[in-house]
Amino acid sequence: MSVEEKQLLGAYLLWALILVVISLISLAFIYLGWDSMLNQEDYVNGPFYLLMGIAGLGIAGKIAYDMSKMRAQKEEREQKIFTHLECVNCGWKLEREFREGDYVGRVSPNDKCPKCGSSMRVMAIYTRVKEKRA
Amino acid sequence: MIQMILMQANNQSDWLSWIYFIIFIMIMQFYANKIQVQIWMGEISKALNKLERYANDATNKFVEEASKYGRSKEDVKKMVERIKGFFLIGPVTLDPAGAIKRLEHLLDEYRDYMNKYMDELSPKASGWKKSNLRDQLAGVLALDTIFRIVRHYFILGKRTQNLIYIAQIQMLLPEILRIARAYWRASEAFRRGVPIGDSIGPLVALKLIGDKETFELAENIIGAWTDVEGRKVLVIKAKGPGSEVGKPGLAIEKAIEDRNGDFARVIMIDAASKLEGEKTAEIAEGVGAAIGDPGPEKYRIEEVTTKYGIPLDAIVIKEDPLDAITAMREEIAKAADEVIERVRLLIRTRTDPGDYVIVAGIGNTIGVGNRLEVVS
Repeated sequence: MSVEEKQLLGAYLLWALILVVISLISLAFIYLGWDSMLNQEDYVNGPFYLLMGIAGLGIAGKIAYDMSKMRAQKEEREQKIFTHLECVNCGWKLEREFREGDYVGRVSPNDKCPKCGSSMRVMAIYTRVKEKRA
Repeated sequence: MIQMILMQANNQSDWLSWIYFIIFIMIMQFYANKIQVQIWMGEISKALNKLERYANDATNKFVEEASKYGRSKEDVKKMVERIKGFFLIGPVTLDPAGAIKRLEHLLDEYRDYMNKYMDELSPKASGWKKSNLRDQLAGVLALDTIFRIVRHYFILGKRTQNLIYIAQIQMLLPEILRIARAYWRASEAFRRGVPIGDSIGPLVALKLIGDKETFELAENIIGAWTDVEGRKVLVIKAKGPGSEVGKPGLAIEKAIEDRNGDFARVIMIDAASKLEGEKTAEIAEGVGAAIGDPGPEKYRIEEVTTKYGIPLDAIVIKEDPLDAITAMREEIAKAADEVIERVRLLIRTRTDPGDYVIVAGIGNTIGVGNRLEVVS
C-alpha cells in the first residue's frame, strides 16, 4: 500500500468515525425533541432539539456523500486499459489487459489464437468509463 | 397550544438574548463578505493542494520513466525543473499579413526545441518513446502552469482580500480541477503509449490502410495507396506508434501538387468537441478542413483545395475535449468501423470509379501503428 493510499484510508476511517458520532448525537436529539414535545409538553425546547437532530442528520448525509466521492476517486485511479486482439487467420476475438509495448496494428508476440493457434493482432486499445449523468 | 408557547417563551426570554441576537445580526451585516472570503479561500487552498499533488505526481512519474533511458533520476529532475515555465510567444497580429507563416515558424522552433531537449534528457530512448516522453512532459508543464495560475490568484486574493479575485477563481475551480485531472490522467496514457481520444482519426486511417505498404509523405506523416469502391485512395496519417501529429497540411498540399490537383475529393477525419448532452462517439459529417491545429496546417489545406477547386469533406467523432487527451474510451474505438462505412458511402456516392481521393486521419497517433503488421 502506497503512502497516498494509506493517507486516503486514514482519512476515510476518520470520517467514518465522525459520521457515526454525529449520527448518534443527532438521533439522540431527535428522541429528546420528540419526548419533550409529547411527554413533557415543552414546545419551546422540543422543536429546537428536533431541529438540531434533523440538521445533524443532514450533516451526516453530506459526510456520507463526500465519502462516496472519495471512493469514486479511488476507483478512478485504478482505471484499466484493455487490448482487443483478433486472430490473423480465423478472426477469433480476444480481450485482455493492456501490456507495455502493445499498439494497434501490431502482431502480438505473446498471444496465440485459442481456436487455431495462429498469431493475434492488436485491433484496438481502450478504457471503460462510466458515463456521468448531468 | 399557542398560548402555552407564548407563556413559556415569555418566561424564558430575557433581554440578554435579544442583545446577543442584535450583535449577531450586526456582525453578519459587516463581516458576511469577510466570512464568505474565508470560506472561499479555504476551498481554493484545498484545490491548490490537489493541483500540487497532481503536478508532483505527474512530475515524479515522468522522472521515473525518463530516467530509464540513459540519465539518472537526479539529472532528469534537474532538467524538468529547468524547463518548467517554458513558453511560446505568439506572433504579432497587428499587421496580420504573413502571421500564419510566422506562427508556423514559431511552432516549428518550439517543437524542435522540445525534441532536442528530449535527446538530451533521454538519450537512449527510441524515436517513438522520445515522442511519448515529450508529450508526457508537455502534460507535466501544463499541470505546472495551472498550479502556478491558481496559486497566483490565491496569493493575490489573500493579500488584497479582494472578493472579485477570489470569487473568479473559486467559481472556476470545478472546471480547473476537471482539466487538471485530465492532464494528470493523460500523463499516464503517454507514459504507457496508449491511444488517446484524439487518436481516432489515425485509427480509422490505419484500418483503411490495412496491410498495404506505406511511405513517408511529409515530416512525420505517412501515406498509403489503397483501393476503395474502385477509386484510388491515398490514406494519410501521422507516423506511429509514437506520440505524433505530424504536418498533415503539408502532406495534403504535397500530394495534391504532385498530381497537379487531380483529386476528386479530400475527406478529413478528426475528433471534435461534443456539446453537453451529445453522446460520446457520435459521428457527424460536414464540409471543411477537420483539423484542430493552431492554424498553419488548416491554412495549407484550405489554400491548396481552393486553388484546384477540390471539395473538402469532414467526418468528426464527437467527444469531450478532456477525453481527447486521455486513454481512448471503448465507445470511441468502436466508432472507427462506422466511420469507415461513412467514408465508403461518401466515396461511393460523391466520386466516380477511377477517381483519386485523399482520406486523412487527423490527430495524435500514439499507440496506433502505421499499418496492420503482416505475420512473418
